[in-house]
Amino acid sequence: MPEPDLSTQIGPITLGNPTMLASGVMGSSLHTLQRAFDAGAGAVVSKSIGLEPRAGYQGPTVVEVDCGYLNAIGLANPGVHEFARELEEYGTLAFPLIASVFGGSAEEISAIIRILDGYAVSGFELNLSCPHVKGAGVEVASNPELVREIVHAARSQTSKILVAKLSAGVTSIVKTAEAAVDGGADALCAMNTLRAMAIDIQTSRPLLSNVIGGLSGSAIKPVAVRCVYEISEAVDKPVIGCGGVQNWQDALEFLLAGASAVQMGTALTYKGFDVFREVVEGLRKYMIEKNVENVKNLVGLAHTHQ
Amino acid sequence: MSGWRTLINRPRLVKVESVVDESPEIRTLIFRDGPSSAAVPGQFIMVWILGVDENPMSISMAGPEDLAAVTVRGHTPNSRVLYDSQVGSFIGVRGPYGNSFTLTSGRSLVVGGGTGLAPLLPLVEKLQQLGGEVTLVAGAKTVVALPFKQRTSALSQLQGVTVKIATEDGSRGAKALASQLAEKILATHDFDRIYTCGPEPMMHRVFHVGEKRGIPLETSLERVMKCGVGLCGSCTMGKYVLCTEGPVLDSARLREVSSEFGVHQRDHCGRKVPF
Repeated sequence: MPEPDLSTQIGPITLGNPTMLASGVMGSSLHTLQRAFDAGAGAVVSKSIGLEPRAGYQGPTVVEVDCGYLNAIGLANPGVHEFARELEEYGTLAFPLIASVFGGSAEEISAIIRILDGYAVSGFELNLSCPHVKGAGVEVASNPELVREIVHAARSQTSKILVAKLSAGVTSIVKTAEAAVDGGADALCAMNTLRAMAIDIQTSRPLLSNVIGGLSGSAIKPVAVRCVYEISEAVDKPVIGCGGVQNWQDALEFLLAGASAVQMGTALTYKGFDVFREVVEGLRKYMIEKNVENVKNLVGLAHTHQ
Repeated sequence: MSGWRTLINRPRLVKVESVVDESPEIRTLIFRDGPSSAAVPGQFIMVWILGVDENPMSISMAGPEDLAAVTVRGHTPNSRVLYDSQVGSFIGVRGPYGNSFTLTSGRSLVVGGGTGLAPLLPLVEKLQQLGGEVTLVAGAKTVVALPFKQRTSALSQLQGVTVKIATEDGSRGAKALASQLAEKILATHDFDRIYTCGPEPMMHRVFHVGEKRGIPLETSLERVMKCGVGLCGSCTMGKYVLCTEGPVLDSARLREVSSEFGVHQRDHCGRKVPF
Protein backbone atom coordinates (compact mmCIF):
# COMPACT_ATOMS: atom_id res chain seq x y z
CA MET A 1 0.00 0.00 0.00
CA PRO A 2 1.35 3.45 -0.81
CA GLU A 3 1.97 5.92 2.03
CA PRO A 4 -1.47 6.85 3.46
CA ASP A 5 -2.76 10.31 2.64
CA LEU A 6 -3.49 12.27 5.81
CA SER A 7 -4.32 15.53 4.10
CA THR A 8 -7.77 16.86 4.76
CA GLN A 9 -9.90 19.53 3.15
CA ILE A 10 -11.85 21.94 5.30
CA GLY A 11 -13.83 24.23 3.04
CA PRO A 12 -11.35 26.28 1.02
CA ILE A 13 -8.22 25.16 2.87
CA THR A 14 -6.21 21.96 2.80
CA LEU A 15 -4.39 20.72 5.88
CA GLY A 16 -1.38 18.43 5.62
CA ASN A 17 -2.86 16.36 8.43
CA PRO A 18 -6.11 16.43 10.40
CA THR A 19 -4.73 18.01 13.59
CA MET A 20 -4.98 21.61 14.70
CA LEU A 21 -3.93 23.63 17.69
CA ALA A 22 -7.08 24.74 19.52
CA SER A 23 -7.75 28.37 20.36
CA GLY A 24 -6.60 29.60 23.74
CA VAL A 25 -3.53 27.41 24.07
CA MET A 26 -0.10 28.82 23.26
CA GLY A 27 -1.90 31.08 20.83
CA SER A 28 -0.99 34.57 21.96
CA SER A 29 2.39 34.63 20.29
CA LEU A 30 3.17 34.04 16.64
CA HIS A 31 6.38 32.32 17.75
CA THR A 32 4.55 29.61 19.66
CA LEU A 33 1.89 29.30 16.96
CA GLN A 34 4.75 28.71 14.53
CA ARG A 35 6.24 26.22 16.94
CA ALA A 36 3.00 24.23 17.04
CA PHE A 37 3.01 24.05 13.27
CA ASP A 38 6.69 23.09 13.17
CA ALA A 39 5.91 20.40 15.72
CA GLY A 40 3.38 18.87 13.35
CA ALA A 41 0.01 20.60 13.69
CA GLY A 42 -1.87 20.77 10.39
CA ALA A 43 -3.06 24.28 11.23
CA VAL A 44 -3.13 26.54 14.27
CA VAL A 45 -5.84 28.70 15.78
CA SER A 46 -4.90 31.89 17.61
CA LYS A 47 -6.06 33.10 20.98
CA SER A 48 -9.49 34.74 20.60
CA ILE A 49 -9.04 38.35 19.56
CA GLY A 50 -11.50 41.11 20.42
CA LEU A 51 -11.85 44.71 19.36
CA GLU A 52 -10.26 46.06 22.55
CA PRO A 53 -7.39 44.74 24.68
CA ARG A 54 -8.51 42.70 27.69
CA ALA A 55 -6.38 41.79 30.70
CA GLY A 56 -8.63 38.90 31.62
CA TYR A 57 -9.43 37.80 35.15
CA GLN A 58 -7.29 37.78 38.29
CA GLY A 59 -5.97 34.39 39.34
CA PRO A 60 -6.63 31.60 39.96
CA THR A 61 -7.56 31.26 36.30
CA VAL A 62 -6.58 27.65 35.66
CA VAL A 63 -7.22 24.71 37.95
CA GLU A 64 -6.80 21.00 37.42
CA VAL A 65 -9.80 18.79 38.11
CA ASP A 66 -10.31 15.05 37.71
CA CYS A 67 -9.86 14.19 34.02
CA GLY A 68 -9.39 17.74 32.88
CA TYR A 69 -8.93 21.39 33.57
CA LEU A 70 -11.05 24.40 34.43
CA ASN A 71 -10.09 27.72 32.96
CA ALA A 72 -11.42 31.24 33.34
CA ILE A 73 -8.68 33.25 31.71
CA GLY A 74 -11.29 35.81 30.70
CA LEU A 75 -10.55 36.28 27.00
CA ALA A 76 -7.28 38.08 27.71
CA ASN A 77 -5.97 39.39 24.40
CA PRO A 78 -4.03 42.37 23.06
CA GLY A 79 -6.91 43.65 20.94
CA VAL A 80 -7.19 43.46 17.16
CA HIS A 81 -4.97 46.46 16.43
CA GLU A 82 -1.96 45.16 18.34
CA PHE A 83 -2.52 41.67 16.93
CA ALA A 84 -2.54 43.12 13.42
CA ARG A 85 0.65 45.03 14.21
CA GLU A 86 2.35 41.84 15.34
CA LEU A 87 1.20 40.01 12.21
CA GLU A 88 2.78 42.77 10.18
CA GLU A 89 6.04 42.69 12.17
CA TYR A 90 6.33 38.92 12.03
CA GLY A 91 6.42 38.94 8.25
CA THR A 92 5.69 35.90 6.14
CA LEU A 93 3.49 33.32 7.81
CA ALA A 94 4.76 29.97 6.64
CA PHE A 95 1.89 28.16 8.30
CA PRO A 96 -1.93 28.17 8.13
CA LEU A 97 -3.06 30.50 10.89
CA ILE A 98 -6.74 30.75 11.69
CA ALA A 99 -7.57 33.81 13.74
CA SER A 100 -10.13 33.18 16.45
CA VAL A 101 -12.32 36.22 17.00
CA PHE A 102 -15.02 37.11 19.51
CA GLY A 103 -17.39 39.94 20.09
CA GLY A 104 -20.72 40.81 21.61
CA SER A 105 -22.41 41.72 18.36
CA ALA A 106 -22.40 41.28 14.59
CA GLU A 107 -20.90 44.78 14.25
CA GLU A 108 -17.95 43.99 16.52
CA ILE A 109 -17.15 40.71 14.82
CA SER A 110 -17.45 42.39 11.41
CA ALA A 111 -15.05 45.13 12.46
CA ILE A 112 -12.45 42.67 13.71
CA ILE A 113 -12.56 40.53 10.60
CA ARG A 114 -12.51 43.56 8.34
CA ILE A 115 -9.24 44.61 9.97
CA LEU A 116 -7.58 41.20 9.94
CA ASP A 117 -8.75 39.97 6.56
CA GLY A 118 -6.03 41.88 4.76
CA TYR A 119 -3.29 40.15 6.75
CA ALA A 120 -1.75 36.77 6.16
CA VAL A 121 -4.27 34.78 8.20
CA SER A 122 -5.76 31.77 6.40
CA GLY A 123 -9.18 32.37 7.84
CA PHE A 124 -11.29 32.88 10.94
CA GLU A 125 -12.87 30.92 13.72
CA LEU A 126 -15.84 32.61 15.37
CA ASN A 127 -15.83 32.10 19.12
CA LEU A 128 -19.58 32.09 19.64
CA SER A 129 -19.44 29.89 22.63
CA CYS A 130 -16.98 31.00 25.26
CA PRO A 131 -18.84 29.91 28.36
CA HIS A 132 -17.76 32.31 30.99
CA VAL A 133 -17.77 35.86 29.72
CA LYS A 134 -20.87 38.02 30.06
CA GLY A 135 -21.98 39.65 26.86
CA ALA A 136 -19.99 37.31 24.65
CA GLY A 137 -20.00 33.62 23.96
CA VAL A 138 -22.69 31.37 25.29
CA GLU A 139 -25.37 34.00 25.26
CA VAL A 140 -24.70 34.35 21.57
CA ALA A 141 -24.53 30.65 20.85
CA SER A 142 -27.80 29.93 22.61
CA ASN A 143 -29.70 32.11 20.16
CA PRO A 144 -29.68 30.54 16.68
CA GLU A 145 -30.99 33.69 15.00
CA LEU A 146 -28.17 35.73 16.53
CA VAL A 147 -25.68 33.09 15.43
CA ARG A 148 -26.97 33.30 11.88
CA GLU A 149 -26.76 37.09 11.95
CA ILE A 150 -23.21 37.11 13.30
CA VAL A 151 -21.94 34.48 10.89
CA HIS A 152 -23.63 36.32 8.05
CA ALA A 153 -21.93 39.57 9.08
CA ALA A 154 -18.58 37.79 9.34
CA ARG A 155 -19.12 36.18 5.95
CA SER A 156 -19.59 39.59 4.35
CA GLN A 157 -16.09 40.62 5.47
CA THR A 158 -14.04 37.72 4.14
CA SER A 159 -13.88 35.04 1.52
CA LYS A 160 -11.38 33.08 3.61
CA ILE A 161 -12.39 30.05 5.63
CA LEU A 162 -14.97 30.84 8.27
CA VAL A 163 -15.38 28.31 11.08
CA ALA A 164 -18.16 28.64 13.65
CA LYS A 165 -17.06 27.23 17.01
CA LEU A 166 -20.11 26.06 18.90
CA SER A 167 -21.12 25.34 22.46
CA ALA A 168 -22.85 22.31 23.91
CA GLY A 169 -24.34 24.44 26.64
CA VAL A 170 -27.42 25.19 24.55
CA THR A 171 -30.75 23.51 23.99
CA SER A 172 -29.75 22.22 20.57
CA ILE A 173 -26.24 22.41 19.20
CA VAL A 174 -27.63 21.09 15.93
CA LYS A 175 -29.93 24.11 15.64
CA THR A 176 -26.94 26.40 16.25
CA ALA A 177 -24.94 24.51 13.63
CA GLU A 178 -27.74 24.86 11.10
CA ALA A 179 -27.98 28.57 11.83
CA ALA A 180 -24.23 28.99 11.34
CA VAL A 181 -24.35 27.16 8.02
CA ASP A 182 -27.32 29.32 7.02
CA GLY A 183 -25.21 32.38 7.81
CA GLY A 184 -22.46 31.17 5.51
CA ALA A 185 -20.00 29.25 7.68
CA ASP A 186 -17.58 26.98 5.80
CA ALA A 187 -17.21 24.63 8.72
CA LEU A 188 -18.32 23.99 12.27
CA CYS A 189 -16.16 23.30 15.28
CA ALA A 190 -17.68 21.27 18.10
CA MET A 191 -17.08 22.10 20.77
CA ASN A 192 -15.93 24.76 23.18
CA THR A 193 -15.50 24.13 26.92
CA LEU A 194 -18.40 23.38 29.26
CA ARG A 195 -19.49 25.72 32.05
CA ALA A 196 -18.18 24.28 35.28
CA MET A 197 -16.63 25.11 38.65
CA ALA A 198 -14.74 23.67 41.63
CA ILE A 199 -14.82 24.55 45.34
CA ASP A 200 -12.03 24.19 47.88
CA ILE A 201 -13.55 22.30 50.77
CA GLN A 202 -11.10 23.64 53.35
CA THR A 203 -12.01 27.28 52.86
CA SER A 204 -15.35 26.83 51.03
CA ARG A 205 -14.03 29.13 48.32
CA PRO A 206 -14.65 28.67 44.61
CA LEU A 207 -11.23 27.88 43.18
CA LEU A 208 -11.50 30.14 40.13
CA SER A 209 -11.52 33.87 40.81
CA ASN A 210 -14.31 34.15 38.24
CA VAL A 211 -16.13 31.32 40.09
CA ILE A 212 -17.28 29.66 36.86
CA GLY A 213 -14.99 28.59 34.07
CA GLY A 214 -14.74 26.23 31.12
CA LEU A 215 -14.12 22.52 31.60
CA SER A 216 -11.78 20.93 29.07
CA GLY A 217 -9.89 17.69 28.69
CA SER A 218 -10.86 14.04 28.77
CA ALA A 219 -13.91 14.72 30.95
CA ILE A 220 -15.74 16.41 28.07
CA LYS A 221 -14.79 14.09 25.23
CA PRO A 222 -18.00 12.01 25.24
CA VAL A 223 -20.05 15.20 24.99
CA ALA A 224 -17.89 16.53 22.17
CA VAL A 225 -18.06 13.25 20.24
CA ARG A 226 -21.85 13.30 20.58
CA CYS A 227 -21.95 16.87 19.24
CA VAL A 228 -19.77 16.02 16.25
CA TYR A 229 -21.93 12.98 15.54
CA GLU A 230 -25.23 14.89 15.71
CA ILE A 231 -24.00 17.91 13.76
CA SER A 232 -22.35 15.92 10.98
CA GLU A 233 -25.60 14.02 10.55
CA ALA A 234 -27.62 17.20 10.20
CA VAL A 235 -25.44 19.54 8.10
CA ASP A 236 -23.49 19.18 4.92
CA LYS A 237 -20.39 21.14 5.96
CA PRO A 238 -17.13 19.84 7.46
CA VAL A 239 -17.06 19.48 11.22
CA ILE A 240 -13.90 19.96 13.29
CA GLY A 241 -13.89 17.99 16.52
CA CYS A 242 -12.59 19.53 19.72
CA GLY A 243 -12.75 18.43 23.34
CA GLY A 244 -10.54 15.98 25.16
CA VAL A 245 -8.36 14.70 22.34
CA GLN A 246 -5.25 13.35 24.07
CA ASN A 247 -3.97 10.71 21.65
CA TRP A 248 -4.49 9.20 18.20
CA GLN A 249 -7.25 6.91 19.41
CA ASP A 250 -9.26 9.92 20.61
CA ALA A 251 -8.63 11.65 17.29
CA LEU A 252 -9.82 8.57 15.40
CA GLU A 253 -12.96 8.45 17.52
CA PHE A 254 -13.78 12.01 16.43
CA LEU A 255 -13.09 11.21 12.77
CA LEU A 256 -15.41 8.20 12.95
CA ALA A 257 -18.05 10.43 14.55
CA GLY A 258 -17.90 12.69 11.52
CA ALA A 259 -15.04 15.13 12.09
CA SER A 260 -12.73 16.02 9.22
CA ALA A 261 -10.09 17.24 11.63
CA VAL A 262 -9.51 17.58 15.37
CA GLN A 263 -8.20 20.35 17.58
CA MET A 264 -6.07 19.86 20.65
CA GLY A 265 -5.55 22.28 23.49
CA THR A 266 -5.52 20.80 26.98
CA ALA A 267 -3.47 17.88 25.66
CA LEU A 268 -0.49 20.23 25.50
CA THR A 269 -0.28 20.48 29.25
CA TYR A 270 0.25 16.72 29.44
CA LYS A 271 2.34 16.17 26.31
CA GLY A 272 3.62 19.51 25.12
CA PHE A 273 4.01 20.30 21.43
CA ASP A 274 4.98 16.67 20.71
CA VAL A 275 1.33 15.64 20.82
CA PHE A 276 0.71 16.62 17.19
CA ARG A 277 3.38 14.33 15.80
CA GLU A 278 2.24 11.58 18.19
CA VAL A 279 -1.35 11.75 16.94
CA VAL A 280 -0.40 11.96 13.28
CA GLU A 281 2.00 9.03 13.60
CA GLY A 282 -0.63 6.99 15.41
CA LEU A 283 -3.23 7.65 12.73
CA ARG A 284 -0.72 6.88 10.01
CA LYS A 285 0.19 3.51 11.53
CA TYR A 286 -3.48 2.70 12.02
CA MET A 287 -4.23 3.52 8.40
CA ILE A 288 -1.38 1.31 7.18
CA GLU A 289 -2.54 -1.54 9.38
CA LYS A 290 -6.15 -1.23 8.24
CA ASN A 291 -5.31 -0.46 4.60
CA VAL A 292 -6.96 2.95 4.66
CA GLU A 293 -5.55 5.02 1.80
CA ASN A 294 -7.02 8.36 2.65
CA VAL A 295 -7.99 9.83 6.02
CA LYS A 296 -11.23 11.05 4.45
CA ASN A 297 -12.30 7.39 4.25
CA LEU A 298 -12.49 7.32 8.04
CA VAL A 299 -14.72 10.36 8.41
CA GLY A 300 -18.20 9.49 9.63
CA LEU A 301 -17.84 5.71 9.61
CA ALA A 302 -19.75 5.47 12.89
CA HIS A 303 -22.86 6.64 11.03
CA THR A 304 -22.96 3.51 8.93
CA HIS A 305 -23.89 1.47 11.98
CA GLN A 306 -27.20 3.12 12.84
CA MET B 1 -10.13 8.88 39.65
CA SER B 2 -11.11 9.93 43.13
CA GLY B 3 -12.11 13.45 44.09
CA TRP B 4 -9.99 13.11 47.21
CA ARG B 5 -6.81 12.68 45.25
CA THR B 6 -4.42 15.58 45.62
CA LEU B 7 -4.10 17.16 42.22
CA ILE B 8 -0.71 18.81 41.86
CA ASN B 9 -2.18 21.56 39.69
CA ARG B 10 -4.95 22.50 42.07
CA PRO B 11 -4.19 24.96 44.89
CA ARG B 12 -3.28 23.37 48.23
CA LEU B 13 -4.30 25.57 51.14
CA VAL B 14 -1.46 25.98 53.63
CA LYS B 15 -1.07 28.06 56.76
CA VAL B 16 1.61 30.74 57.07
CA GLU B 17 3.67 29.32 59.91
CA SER B 18 6.14 32.14 60.45
CA VAL B 19 7.29 35.36 58.91
CA VAL B 20 10.76 36.91 58.52
CA ASP B 21 11.10 40.67 58.01
CA GLU B 22 13.83 41.04 55.42
CA SER B 23 13.49 44.79 54.89
CA PRO B 24 10.83 47.47 55.44
CA GLU B 25 9.10 46.22 52.27
CA ILE B 26 10.13 42.60 51.98
CA ARG B 27 8.99 39.62 53.97
CA THR B 28 9.61 35.90 53.78
CA LEU B 29 6.57 33.73 54.47
CA ILE B 30 7.30 30.22 55.72
CA PHE B 31 4.77 27.42 55.38
CA ARG B 32 4.59 23.64 55.21
CA ASP B 33 3.94 21.95 51.88
CA GLY B 34 5.52 18.64 50.87
CA PRO B 35 5.83 19.28 47.14
CA SER B 36 7.18 22.84 47.61
CA SER B 37 9.79 21.65 50.11
CA ALA B 38 11.05 19.19 47.49
CA ALA B 39 11.63 21.94 44.91
CA VAL B 40 15.07 22.33 43.37
CA PRO B 41 16.75 25.75 43.11
CA GLY B 42 15.10 27.88 40.43
CA GLN B 43 11.64 26.40 40.64
CA PHE B 44 8.58 28.42 41.49
CA ILE B 45 5.06 27.92 42.81
CA MET B 46 1.80 29.63 41.93
CA VAL B 47 0.71 31.42 45.10
CA TRP B 48 -2.98 32.11 45.60
CA ILE B 49 -3.58 35.26 47.62
CA LEU B 50 -7.12 34.42 48.66
CA GLY B 51 -9.70 36.72 47.18
CA VAL B 52 -7.04 38.70 45.34
CA ASP B 53 -4.90 36.97 42.72
CA GLU B 54 -2.60 34.05 41.95
CA ASN B 55 1.01 34.80 41.04
CA PRO B 56 4.24 32.93 40.32
CA MET B 57 6.78 33.20 43.09
CA SER B 58 10.26 31.74 43.36
CA ILE B 59 10.80 29.35 46.21
CA SER B 60 13.27 31.13 48.46
CA MET B 61 13.68 28.25 50.86
CA ALA B 62 13.02 24.54 50.46
CA GLY B 63 13.83 22.83 53.69
CA PRO B 64 13.40 19.75 55.82
CA GLU B 65 10.12 18.72 57.43
CA ASP B 66 8.01 19.99 54.52
CA LEU B 67 9.09 23.57 55.12
CA ALA B 68 9.21 26.03 52.23
CA ALA B 69 9.08 29.77 51.76
CA VAL B 70 8.37 32.56 49.33
CA THR B 71 9.63 36.11 49.67
CA VAL B 72 7.34 38.99 48.82
CA ARG B 73 7.91 42.67 48.23
CA GLY B 74 4.74 44.45 49.28
CA HIS B 75 4.96 47.40 46.94
CA THR B 76 1.69 46.94 45.03
CA PRO B 77 -1.87 46.67 46.40
CA ASN B 78 -2.02 42.92 45.62
CA SER B 79 1.43 41.99 46.89
CA ARG B 80 0.79 44.07 49.99
CA VAL B 81 -2.07 41.72 50.90
CA LEU B 82 0.35 38.81 50.76
CA TYR B 83 2.98 40.79 52.64
CA ASP B 84 0.42 41.46 55.40
CA SER B 85 -0.39 37.75 55.84
CA GLN B 86 -0.82 36.92 59.50
CA VAL B 87 0.74 33.82 60.97
CA GLY B 88 -2.03 31.22 60.84
CA SER B 89 -3.72 32.65 57.75
CA PHE B 90 -4.14 30.60 54.59
CA ILE B 91 -2.48 30.94 51.23
CA GLY B 92 -2.93 28.59 48.29
CA VAL B 93 0.07 26.97 46.63
CA ARG B 94 0.44 24.75 43.58
CA GLY B 95 3.45 23.33 41.86
CA PRO B 96 6.41 23.44 42.10
CA TYR B 97 6.81 24.36 38.49
CA GLY B 98 9.52 25.13 36.02
CA ASN B 99 13.04 23.99 35.40
CA SER B 100 15.99 24.63 37.67
CA PHE B 101 19.51 25.99 37.74
CA THR B 102 22.22 23.60 36.58
CA LEU B 103 24.16 22.48 39.64
CA THR B 104 27.92 22.23 39.52
CA SER B 105 30.83 21.80 41.92
CA GLY B 106 33.00 24.31 40.04
CA ARG B 107 33.56 28.04 40.50
CA SER B 108 30.30 29.94 40.38
CA LEU B 109 29.49 33.62 40.37
CA VAL B 110 25.97 34.28 41.60
CA VAL B 111 24.63 37.80 41.07
CA GLY B 112 21.37 38.93 42.61
CA GLY B 113 19.50 42.19 43.02
CA GLY B 114 16.79 42.80 45.61
CA THR B 115 14.12 40.11 45.65
CA GLY B 116 16.02 38.51 42.75
CA LEU B 117 18.10 36.98 45.51
CA ALA B 118 15.12 34.81 46.49
CA PRO B 119 15.74 31.91 44.07
CA LEU B 120 19.52 32.37 44.31
CA LEU B 121 19.98 31.66 48.01
CA PRO B 122 18.80 28.04 47.78
CA LEU B 123 21.13 27.77 44.78
CA VAL B 124 24.14 29.08 46.71
CA GLU B 125 23.38 26.71 49.57
CA LYS B 126 23.18 23.77 47.17
CA LEU B 127 26.34 24.71 45.26
CA GLN B 128 28.23 24.96 48.54
CA GLN B 129 26.94 21.54 49.60
CA LEU B 130 28.29 20.13 46.34
CA GLY B 131 31.74 21.43 47.25
CA GLY B 132 31.73 24.35 44.84
CA GLU B 133 33.49 27.70 45.17
CA VAL B 134 30.75 30.30 45.18
CA THR B 135 30.98 34.06 45.05
CA LEU B 136 27.65 35.71 45.76
CA VAL B 137 27.15 39.33 44.76
CA ALA B 138 24.09 40.65 46.59
CA GLY B 139 22.87 44.09 45.56
CA ALA B 140 20.21 46.57 46.62
CA LYS B 141 19.55 50.28 46.68
CA THR B 142 20.58 50.61 50.34
CA VAL B 143 21.65 48.28 53.15
CA VAL B 144 18.22 48.73 54.71
CA ALA B 145 16.54 47.61 51.50
CA LEU B 146 18.86 44.61 51.12
CA PRO B 147 16.91 41.41 51.93
CA PHE B 148 18.31 38.18 53.39
CA LYS B 149 21.04 39.91 55.40
CA GLN B 150 20.96 37.18 58.05
CA ARG B 151 21.02 34.35 55.54
CA THR B 152 23.82 35.81 53.42
CA SER B 153 25.83 36.47 56.55
CA ALA B 154 25.41 32.82 57.59
CA LEU B 155 26.35 31.70 54.07
CA SER B 156 29.55 33.77 54.15
CA GLN B 157 30.72 31.68 57.11
CA LEU B 158 30.57 28.49 55.08
CA GLN B 159 33.53 26.84 53.40
CA GLY B 160 33.91 27.95 49.78
CA VAL B 161 31.46 30.87 49.93
CA THR B 162 32.42 34.52 49.47
CA VAL B 163 29.71 37.14 49.81
CA LYS B 164 30.13 40.60 48.32
CA ILE B 165 27.56 43.30 48.98
CA ALA B 166 26.80 46.13 46.56
CA THR B 167 24.57 49.05 47.51
CA GLU B 168 23.77 51.97 45.25
CA ASP B 169 24.26 54.48 48.07
CA GLY B 170 27.33 52.75 49.45
CA SER B 171 25.72 52.13 52.85
CA ARG B 172 27.28 48.68 52.85
CA GLY B 173 29.92 47.03 50.74
CA ALA B 174 30.76 48.51 47.36
CA LYS B 175 29.00 51.65 46.19
CA ALA B 176 27.82 50.11 42.93
CA LEU B 177 25.13 48.23 41.10
CA ALA B 178 25.31 44.47 41.52
CA SER B 179 26.09 44.14 37.81
CA GLN B 180 28.95 46.64 38.09
CA LEU B 181 30.50 44.81 41.03
CA ALA B 182 30.08 41.53 39.15
CA GLU B 183 31.86 42.98 36.14
CA LYS B 184 34.72 44.16 38.34
CA ILE B 185 35.07 40.72 39.92
CA LEU B 186 34.99 39.04 36.51
CA ALA B 187 37.87 41.23 35.36
CA THR B 188 40.23 39.61 37.86
CA HIS B 189 38.68 36.23 38.69
CA ASP B 190 37.81 33.16 36.68
CA PHE B 191 34.50 31.38 36.93
CA ASP B 192 33.02 28.31 35.28
CA ARG B 193 29.45 29.57 35.43
CA ILE B 194 27.42 32.67 36.22
CA TYR B 195 23.91 32.69 37.66
CA THR B 196 21.83 35.82 37.95
CA CYS B 197 18.38 36.99 39.00
CA GLY B 198 16.95 40.44 39.56
CA PRO B 199 15.51 43.31 37.53
CA GLU B 200 15.74 42.36 33.88
CA PRO B 201 18.00 45.24 32.81
CA MET B 202 20.44 44.05 35.51
CA MET B 203 20.35 40.46 34.27
CA HIS B 204 20.81 41.72 30.74
CA ARG B 205 23.97 43.61 31.71
CA VAL B 206 25.38 40.58 33.55
CA PHE B 207 24.57 38.39 30.55
CA HIS B 208 26.58 40.64 28.28
CA VAL B 209 29.54 40.62 30.61
CA GLY B 210 29.35 36.83 30.65
CA GLU B 211 29.18 36.73 26.86
CA LYS B 212 32.22 39.00 26.61
CA ARG B 213 34.17 36.69 28.90
CA GLY B 214 32.86 33.50 27.29
CA ILE B 215 31.42 32.20 30.55
CA PRO B 216 28.15 30.21 30.40
CA LEU B 217 25.35 31.88 32.28
CA GLU B 218 21.84 31.11 33.54
CA THR B 219 19.15 33.60 34.45
CA SER B 220 15.84 33.16 36.19
CA LEU B 221 13.32 35.26 34.28
CA GLU B 222 10.08 36.78 35.40
CA ARG B 223 7.07 37.06 33.13
CA VAL B 224 3.31 37.32 33.58
CA MET B 225 2.07 33.81 34.32
CA LYS B 226 -1.51 32.75 34.62
CA CYS B 227 -1.77 28.97 34.29
CA GLY B 228 1.73 27.83 35.20
CA VAL B 229 1.17 24.58 33.30
CA GLY B 230 1.97 25.36 29.68
CA LEU B 231 -1.51 26.18 28.45
CA CYS B 232 -2.37 29.86 28.31
CA GLY B 233 0.75 31.15 26.57
CA SER B 234 1.06 34.27 28.75
CA CYS B 235 4.68 33.57 29.65
CA THR B 236 6.23 32.90 26.29
CA MET B 237 9.59 34.30 25.25
CA GLY B 238 10.21 33.65 21.60
CA LYS B 239 9.09 30.07 21.14
CA TYR B 240 9.85 29.12 24.75
CA VAL B 241 7.20 28.59 27.39
CA LEU B 242 8.72 29.90 30.62
CA CYS B 243 6.47 28.04 33.08
CA THR B 244 7.50 24.66 31.68
CA GLU B 245 10.80 25.32 29.89
CA GLY B 246 11.96 28.11 32.18
CA PRO B 247 12.07 30.25 34.16
CA VAL B 248 15.77 29.45 33.99
CA LEU B 249 17.20 30.14 30.55
CA ASP B 250 20.84 29.49 29.66
CA SER B 251 23.13 31.53 27.42
CA ALA B 252 22.15 29.67 24.24
CA ARG B 253 18.45 30.27 24.77
CA LEU B 254 19.01 33.86 25.85
CA ARG B 255 20.75 34.47 22.54
CA GLU B 256 17.75 32.98 20.74
CA VAL B 257 15.36 35.34 22.50
CA SER B 258 17.65 38.36 22.31
CA SER B 259 14.92 40.43 20.64
CA GLU B 260 12.92 40.14 23.86
CA PHE B 261 15.39 39.61 26.71
CA GLY B 262 16.00 42.97 28.34
CA VAL B 263 13.89 44.59 25.62
CA HIS B 264 10.23 43.96 26.35
CA GLN B 265 7.83 41.75 28.26
CA ARG B 266 4.10 41.23 27.84
CA ASP B 267 1.34 42.60 30.05
CA HIS B 268 -1.80 40.76 31.13
CA CYS B 269 -3.43 41.56 27.78
CA GLY B 270 -0.44 40.11 25.97
CA ARG B 271 0.74 43.50 24.73
CA LYS B 272 4.45 44.24 24.50
CA VAL B 273 5.75 46.53 27.25
CA PRO B 274 9.33 47.82 26.91
CA PHE B 275 11.67 47.70 29.90
